[in-house]
Amino acid sequence: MLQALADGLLQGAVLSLAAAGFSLVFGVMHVLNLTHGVTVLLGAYLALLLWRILGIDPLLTIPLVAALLFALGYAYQRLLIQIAIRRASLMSTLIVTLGIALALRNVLTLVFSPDVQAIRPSYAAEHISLGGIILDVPHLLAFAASLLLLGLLAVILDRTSLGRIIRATAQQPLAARLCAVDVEHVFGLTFGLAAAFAGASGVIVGMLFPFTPTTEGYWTLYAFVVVVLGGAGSPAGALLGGLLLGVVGSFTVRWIGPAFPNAMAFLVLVLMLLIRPNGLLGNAFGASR
Amino acid sequence: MRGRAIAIAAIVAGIALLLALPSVLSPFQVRVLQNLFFAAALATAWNIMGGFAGYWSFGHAGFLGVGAFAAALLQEHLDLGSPAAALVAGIALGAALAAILAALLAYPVLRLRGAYFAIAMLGVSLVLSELASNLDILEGGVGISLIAVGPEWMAPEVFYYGVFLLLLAVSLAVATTIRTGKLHYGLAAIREDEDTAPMLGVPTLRYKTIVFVLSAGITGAIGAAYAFSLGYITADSGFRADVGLDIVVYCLLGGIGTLAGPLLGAAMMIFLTQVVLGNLLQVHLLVTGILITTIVLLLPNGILGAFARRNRRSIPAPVVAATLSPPIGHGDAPVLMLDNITVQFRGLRALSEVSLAVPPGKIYSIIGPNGAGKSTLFNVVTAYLRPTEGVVRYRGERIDGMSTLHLSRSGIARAFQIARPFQGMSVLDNIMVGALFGRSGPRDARAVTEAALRITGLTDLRDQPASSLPIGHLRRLELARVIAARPDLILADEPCAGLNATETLDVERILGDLRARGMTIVLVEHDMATIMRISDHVCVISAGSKICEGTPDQVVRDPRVIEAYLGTPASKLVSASLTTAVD
Repeated sequence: MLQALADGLLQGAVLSLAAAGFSLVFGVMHVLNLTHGVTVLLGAYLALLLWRILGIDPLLTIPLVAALLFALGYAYQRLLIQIAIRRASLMSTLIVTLGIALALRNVLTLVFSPDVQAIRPSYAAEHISLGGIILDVPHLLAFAASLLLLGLLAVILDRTSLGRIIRATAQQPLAARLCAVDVEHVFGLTFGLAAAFAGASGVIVGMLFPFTPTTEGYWTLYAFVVVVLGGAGSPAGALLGGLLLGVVGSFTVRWIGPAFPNAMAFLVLVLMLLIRPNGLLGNAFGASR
Repeated sequence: MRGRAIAIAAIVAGIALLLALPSVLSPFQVRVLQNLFFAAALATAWNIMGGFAGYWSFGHAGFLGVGAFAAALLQEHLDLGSPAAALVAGIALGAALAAILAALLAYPVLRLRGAYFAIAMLGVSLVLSELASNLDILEGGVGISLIAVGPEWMAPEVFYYGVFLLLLAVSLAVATTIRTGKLHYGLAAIREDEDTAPMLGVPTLRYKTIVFVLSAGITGAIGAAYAFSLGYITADSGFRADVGLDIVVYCLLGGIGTLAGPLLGAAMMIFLTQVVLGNLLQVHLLVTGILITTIVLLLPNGILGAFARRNRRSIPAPVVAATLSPPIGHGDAPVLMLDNITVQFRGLRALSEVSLAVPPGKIYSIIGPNGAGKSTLFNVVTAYLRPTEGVVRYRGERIDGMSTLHLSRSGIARAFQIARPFQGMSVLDNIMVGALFGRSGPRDARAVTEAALRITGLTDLRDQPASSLPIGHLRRLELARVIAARPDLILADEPCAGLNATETLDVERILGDLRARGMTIVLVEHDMATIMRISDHVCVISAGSKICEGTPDQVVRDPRVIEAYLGTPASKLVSASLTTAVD
């Protein structure tokens, strides 16, 4: 019981971090970014390269990976998403991001092969025992790093002027524009920030779970579930949703069967949509939909 | 007559051509066509839900897989004697199970909209696929072999060419039937604005469920045939998530919501991926992905959508005997009665013990300063809000707490302050929705629509898309749509707000016209001059309570009213200015 709870919480923190970017983009722009999972994997593959070729510890690659993906995310929003919203509709961004996700998944397969990859630093197999509960060292590190990064995101959103502008734009884009905010630029920065955190989470994901290009779909879906559970926009919502999903997953594995955590996650998702469609904490930026 | 003969000849020739094709083409070409029919049938079925109702499912692969596994398991566990019987029973079972699954899913997932629905469906198909591969009784992990069902003298690709052609025909027939009926107007209303649709009498949940079940059933049938055509299925090949997304692309490319669009899109994509890029399986996803993105950016409405409907003109229907007076004759009993209505929002008492009775065939106006509780009162009457205490009766029947749909069915219509037309539909089609789902019935719908067009002076704008109308016209369209439903009682929420003097007079004229036809109108309005000109009876509320009522003349001279509006005891000047508004 306690072991399952501990496993669930440790994994849940990573799920939270992996969903934070998705949640931010959805909360601010109402765009469901289906490219999110690919961004997570891009982070994982970048860390894999840096670790394999240069031998850098994966956790230390996070700043570099995040910076790279920030730039990519910004460009992606300005060059594609913005145009899709302007030319067609918000709904069309769903299809545009789906298209890009499929294409990038294919590119990842071509570049890195469809084989299963994993980042295994020297301490990968180590674990410590705490009052009968066994905790993997990588999981513990990932847990700490995830909480740290989520805290960083919360500070950026709550305490910096960039965060204030993002929050204001999310609530009233028109009013923000009237206050001389360059809304497109802010949306670009938001996307960049989201991509940076997705990439950072990818590094951690790569350390804990084996990955292939096709697993990107799962990361997008997990992010969606986390947002629906916790509520969109805020790191706190992502944290709550992620921990919940993690615990549901580990309990399912423990008591129902190792093959069913995804099925159970979606069952919880459907229940949640019926009971409280805006998530436990609601949308951090006011009404959604 | 001649046009019809030509059409029949063309259809016969087309069928003959389709039947003759397999004997002249190579097996590879026949297989490409078989895949094309498979894809087009699926896309057409998806389009019934995604295109007509605007509910984009990313998880139709789930229904495909359910059909495939139903057929495979049935022929494995039950010997039906002949292979043909196994195929037919498999298709029937596949369709039935997929349809039942959709009916069960309808309650939770059809409450979701837009992207939420799309992704929830993706989740559903994912869960089904995982169940199939992990539950031992479904054998999806190891796979199931299927018997060959085609006749021995026929090559399998030719046989399945025929099977999928037949399924495509079924799919198209269902789509065409929906497209030409009342259902289609209801679905279009749902797609354009699902919150407004029930107010016009469109049974949204029922309609969505019908098309969801139909779409899933057809997809299940196709899945069953698909399993036989493969000869061996696993969870991965039965629940083809990629196919589930490809069909969305076919519809988008060809033109979503059109009849021929899914066919055209499927044909182009199958040709491209199987003939042109046949040897480049490795970049299949890359090409698909880039294509989807390009289509949405360059042709948001698909190929057909880019050309369609620029020059379509509707033919005016003759206005026959259909009158616009409400169908129920009425005596002198009040149409609407509010009895001691109190609405409490936590600490705030928005309305306290308001009672009023609206006589039939009159314009009854509710006025009051900002924050008086007019909108709350209005929301109570239209069943948006449940009163904390008190009873609302419409023709003696209690209506507080009833659904919007039920209200519109019983003859209550609401015109919004912010006009909410179905943006993508023409003026005529907007009004048609009101007429079809109102109380005149489908037979008179065209005539009623014409009459509503004339009363509101919109006849010349009939073919304009609603999105292109200026606000004055929008307000008239809103009224026309309400009128076409032939309601008994019209609730109009500030119909003149934001209009200039001429437009205001237009609206007043229309309201007067409706009163002359025997309809009862409850009006909430800010503009004193309008109220004084057209009301028969005025009720003044202030700070949540009714402070007086009577004819317009009585009300403006009432010192309590002037005090409520201006905050000071009546001065002669104010009283005089209000009185001039009457004259």
